[in-house]
Amino acid sequence: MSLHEISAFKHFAEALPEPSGEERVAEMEARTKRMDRAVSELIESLSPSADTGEAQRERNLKVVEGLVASISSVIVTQEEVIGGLSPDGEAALAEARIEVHDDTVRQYYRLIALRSTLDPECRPTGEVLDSSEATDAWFARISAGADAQG
Amino acid sequence: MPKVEPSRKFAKAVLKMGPIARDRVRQAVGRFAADVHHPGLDFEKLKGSEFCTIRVTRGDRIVLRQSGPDAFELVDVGEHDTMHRRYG
Repeated sequence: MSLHEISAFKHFAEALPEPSGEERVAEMEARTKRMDRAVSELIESLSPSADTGEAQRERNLKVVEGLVASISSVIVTQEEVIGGLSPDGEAALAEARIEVHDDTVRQYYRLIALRSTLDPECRPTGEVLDSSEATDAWFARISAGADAQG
Repeated sequence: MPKVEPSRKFAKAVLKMGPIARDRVRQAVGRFAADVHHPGLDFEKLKGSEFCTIRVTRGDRIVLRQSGPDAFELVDVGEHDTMHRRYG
């Protein structure tokens, strides 16, 4: 998949048929499934090359960044479409569609993880601040480093 | 409680801060870890972007990204307008 094709996902919202309802949701679902397959293939093709040369890593990072931004906007569109369904008559329909949305969100998280392997700046430090003690300890270590640097 | 992971970029940005600013960031991260929707944090999704921000002070924001169902990556920290320009 090329960068051009990836950027096409940005037009996910504009290209959906109006008005909202069954037709719009069905189209969204079909497009999401196509996108889901394309993203899976892309992730598979990029993952093994994460440790290749700098130029290739930069190219891969650019592709993943484009895709992260696009999928993020697709998620917003899906939320708008699902949210636009009436709460009573189309509740079951909405529930089924939310599964599609969940799949997209899962792909998004996979891409974020892949991005972290490609961009050293975004690589997590491996520390988890899941309590006030852990947070205080992390900041104390950073502060000690800053003080040492003067 | 969410899993909150600082990135290297965030760590570098914190390292460059003075002790008072750094302590304010620590407090904001602690509040976020305890309650993502703490009212004082003004948790906000940047429109058209995968990033979110939380408030540190009137002028400073932490940029985050959701990296899992209940996990967040601390991406960067800095002045409000700069963060919005860079990530918005």
